[in-house]
Amino acid sequence: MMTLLRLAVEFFIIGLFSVGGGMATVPFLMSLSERSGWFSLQNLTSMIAISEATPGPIGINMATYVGYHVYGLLGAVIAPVALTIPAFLIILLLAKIIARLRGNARFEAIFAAVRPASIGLISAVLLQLSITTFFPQASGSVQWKSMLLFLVIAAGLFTPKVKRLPIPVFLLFSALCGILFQLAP
Amino acid sequence: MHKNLDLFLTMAKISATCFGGGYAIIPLLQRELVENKGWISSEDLTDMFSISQCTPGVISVNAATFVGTRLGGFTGALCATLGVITPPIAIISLVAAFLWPYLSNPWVQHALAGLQACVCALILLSVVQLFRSGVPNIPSFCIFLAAGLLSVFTSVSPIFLVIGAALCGLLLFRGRGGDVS
Repeated sequence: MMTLLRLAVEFFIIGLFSVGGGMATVPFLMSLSERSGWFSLQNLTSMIAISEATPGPIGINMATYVGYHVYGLLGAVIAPVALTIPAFLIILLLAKIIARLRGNARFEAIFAAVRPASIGLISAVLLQLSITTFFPQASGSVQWKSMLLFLVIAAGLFTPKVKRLPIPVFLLFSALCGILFQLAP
Repeated sequence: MHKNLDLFLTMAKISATCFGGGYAIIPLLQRELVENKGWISSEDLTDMFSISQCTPGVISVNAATFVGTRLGGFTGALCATLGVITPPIAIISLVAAFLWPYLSNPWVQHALAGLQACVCALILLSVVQLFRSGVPNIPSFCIFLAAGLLSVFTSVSPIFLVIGAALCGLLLFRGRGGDVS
């Protein structure tokens, strides 16, 4: 019961502080994994992959996955609902004045700073995930094959024609490469 | 069809057919809510989207709550929001339940290792996309760098970094009016 309550509170807070869409929840999930021990960094990356590979908003998908991991089906309902409540309440209050709010100097000033901070947090996650992916401590060696796959996918994602392919295509390709070239350390 | 049921089903359909979340949902909202249903205008959608970029939470939940409130007040907002979150809850629970017994299988391990490299590339893509619109000048670049470095080298909670950034915004950007973004 306490676990369920903590799950709800943690995701409510994530919903309140993550600005800029699904990926913005990842830094908070990483901090949650360190504090709670509910899931590892390795679990987190497979959660991100599965959230990207299935339909639905990434933030909701990840909350559901973490909730399921921690507390089964009940957790899978509670975590995404708790994540949703802050956004729901804020927009409910703002819906009527939404057009006027854009010009509000204080409001814009706050978020002109929160947005880059949020991007900084996501970049930090990218750095930490890259380190665990390419230099896993367990094996003590450099994962050259993973690095090569990363470069190929990144090149694809930034190439004009290739980047229009749906994200699941990239994920499927990576999973197949993983199996073919035995990527697990 | 009853309006609230219609809201629930329309948002559930958008949510269940959208891959990638965040910005990927915008064209779907445009097609369903503006063109097919005529519930909101394109301008509404643009305003809603810029507010979503500046308020916490999942973008599609913001959109659902906004459209729901417009059409049916609190109940409408509730139905639309439940519509967004119901399909992912069902789908992810199924995937998680199915995947569980196979997680230690070596084939699954290799596939996940491949996915992990892909996830790094996908996060890089989001960072680049967000950076283009979110970090337009030197002060915002400094905030970006400070938040990133503090996050890597200290154990300060991201919550305090976001609150700190909000305070910096009030001090640095006030008085510049709408020029900041």
